Amino acid sequence: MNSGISGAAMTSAGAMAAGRKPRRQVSQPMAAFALLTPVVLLFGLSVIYPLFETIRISFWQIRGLGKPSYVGIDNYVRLFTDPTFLGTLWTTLIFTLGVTILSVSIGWFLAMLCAFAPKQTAVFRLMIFATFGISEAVAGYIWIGIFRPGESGLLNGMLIAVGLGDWSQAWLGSGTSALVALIVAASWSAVGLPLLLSFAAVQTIPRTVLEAAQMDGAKPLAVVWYIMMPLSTAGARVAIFINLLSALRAFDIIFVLTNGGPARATETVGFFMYRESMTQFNLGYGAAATIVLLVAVLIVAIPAIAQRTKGAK
Amino acid sequence: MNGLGRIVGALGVVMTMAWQPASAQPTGEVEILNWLGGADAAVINELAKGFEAKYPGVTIKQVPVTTSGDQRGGIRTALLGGQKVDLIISAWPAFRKELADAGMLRDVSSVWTEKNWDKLLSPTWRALSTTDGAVYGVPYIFGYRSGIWHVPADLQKIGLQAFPADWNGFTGTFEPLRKAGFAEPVALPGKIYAHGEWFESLLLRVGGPEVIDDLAAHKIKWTDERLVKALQFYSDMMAKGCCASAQTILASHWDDAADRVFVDRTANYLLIGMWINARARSQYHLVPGKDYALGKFPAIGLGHDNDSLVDSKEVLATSLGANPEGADLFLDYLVNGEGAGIIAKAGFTVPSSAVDVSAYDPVAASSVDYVKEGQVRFVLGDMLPGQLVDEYRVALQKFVANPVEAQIMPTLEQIEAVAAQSY
Repeated sequence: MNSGISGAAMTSAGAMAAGRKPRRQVSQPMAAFALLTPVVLLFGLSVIYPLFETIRISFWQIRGLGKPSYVGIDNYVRLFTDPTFLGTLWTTLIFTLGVTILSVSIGWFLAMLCAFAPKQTAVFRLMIFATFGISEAVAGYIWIGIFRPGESGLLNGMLIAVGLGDWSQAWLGSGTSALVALIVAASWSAVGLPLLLSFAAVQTIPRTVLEAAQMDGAKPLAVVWYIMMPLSTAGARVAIFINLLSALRAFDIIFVLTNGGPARATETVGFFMYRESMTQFNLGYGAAATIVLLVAVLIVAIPAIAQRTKGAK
Repeated sequence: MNGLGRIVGALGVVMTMAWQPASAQPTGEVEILNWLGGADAAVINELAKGFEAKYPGVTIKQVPVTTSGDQRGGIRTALLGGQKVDLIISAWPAFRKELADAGMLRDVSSVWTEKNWDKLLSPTWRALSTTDGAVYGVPYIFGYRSGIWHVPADLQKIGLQAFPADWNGFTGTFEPLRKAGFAEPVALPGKIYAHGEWFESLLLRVGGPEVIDDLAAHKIKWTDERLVKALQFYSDMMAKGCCASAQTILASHWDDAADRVFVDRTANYLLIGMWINARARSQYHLVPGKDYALGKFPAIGLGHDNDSLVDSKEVLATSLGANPEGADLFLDYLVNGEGAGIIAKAGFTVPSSAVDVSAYDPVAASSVDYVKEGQVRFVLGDMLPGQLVDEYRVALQKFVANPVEAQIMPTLEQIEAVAAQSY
């Protein structure tokens, strides 16, 4: 069956040539509307409806299977006077910035190194990027093995093996070391994307520019610092944006690795939202936390999207 | 009436009599909301198979709930989403009350009497299954939670031939065990909840079942002197060098701690549920009763030394399902010989006395004996409302990190502040 503008026009011309009555042509806006409708419907059902439902629920107090009661903005007021939630905001900030800075800087640095020998480092790049494809829950279990307390933990075992046994410790047992461990584990999963995007950006630098720098006597470090890094910022910027949003919404790796502990030291807003909604089934309170997280995500996403689409036609 | 008429009449009576019991037998589908996995799920499958073989007219339809972490979230979601089931598997008395308060459960007190379950389930089990005077189902598996796992051969290294019976004897082993090369006499896993096990069993020894009941219902405050006393015992245990550093405790999950006792052999005692029995056999390949054993929580001489904490899985009857008769028949099957036998054969301890205890391995048998010695209560954590249990565990984590006398009251006050808003 023909559909769309050109299809309709062809059908019409063909029908006239054959002496039949021409079919009605579909206008351009109508066709666009028809094509967009399924997507809009699906988006509405899977995103817009749950979003409005979450906003609605956030104005109710719902405790378990008990009868809900309307509480207006009380859940929001309670959130911003709840020391636990305020603590999770700080943890979220540290975790998000930590993961983004660490993953993007390492990914970008590795991309610069790989750019000097693109063919020889293909397998290496593939291996690092593969971590991006590993689910956060699986990554969490891998890192549990690494950070296990005692000598059976891989990290402690390695420290002992190289004579640094005094440094070995129960990495997930104190607030500070657990948060650092979590940032390292989450960054490991996230480093592949900045590597890939920065490497792709470096590949777009005209060879003539690099050759000209070499002819002028620039050393490799100067080439990286003055040419490759500035000209690959586009890739790094996209990676920062994506990794920032992922870290802001992180849940799986925290759930598996630390479960928000010890004593809530690694609980982010995403984990708080889960604990309130699914463990304690305070759906209204959890929904309010979800909306706060959504606002935080939008604060990051809107300027970034606006900046990326500024030059678009 | 002639002869033929009599014969026809008699046949009619016989046929009617034969027909009636068959028509009284429940038929159709019994839906059960099931969130269990692993060996627990396998038992339900076996029970369903056995039940369907015994009652060919009834089929068991398992409605799976898939969720990670706390399974109650998934169950609530399913029920709020309109799932109509006849039976729900539960492991939490606090959740049972939540379901009952929401009008989702069906009181089976009359069925209990009618089917004479009292003959097979002791008054203790009936009491544990009761919420606000009503009984909503039957317990079908239980686990002893006041038992301390240990490797007898390791205790023999300091001359111990039997597990220490009293508190002083128990804490008195710490120093010799350390001198014998064990890094931590007690493997205390504090990552999520297991550090609460010590507090709860100490509280039971100090205040008895009443304090557990009253605290669960918040009839007493968390700052009650019996709770203070229990934390003093906890503090005493840690001061006597029971455990690894606070950092190691807070980084350890129960499985890490179990590995240190049974595999690394660097620790000696572990207080955790009966699931260790399955892990010790299947994962560590140890022989129960020979390679490892279960000691009764030490006596402290305050009059509650034979009482026990347990966990339990129960099947609850709902008011939502379409087949209450079929559901009651399944509950009856769980309590009676065939169903209970299937559960025991799978290695679980069973509340029903319809099971031959010789079927249990030595460790499971000892747990059943300990439970019979005194009064039984659910572990406190499973009886507390969600918000409170979370705060209680976090507050105890902070206490474990700094287990000094001065921290006892602030810890209890922190929990009490949340308890005051949780009921």
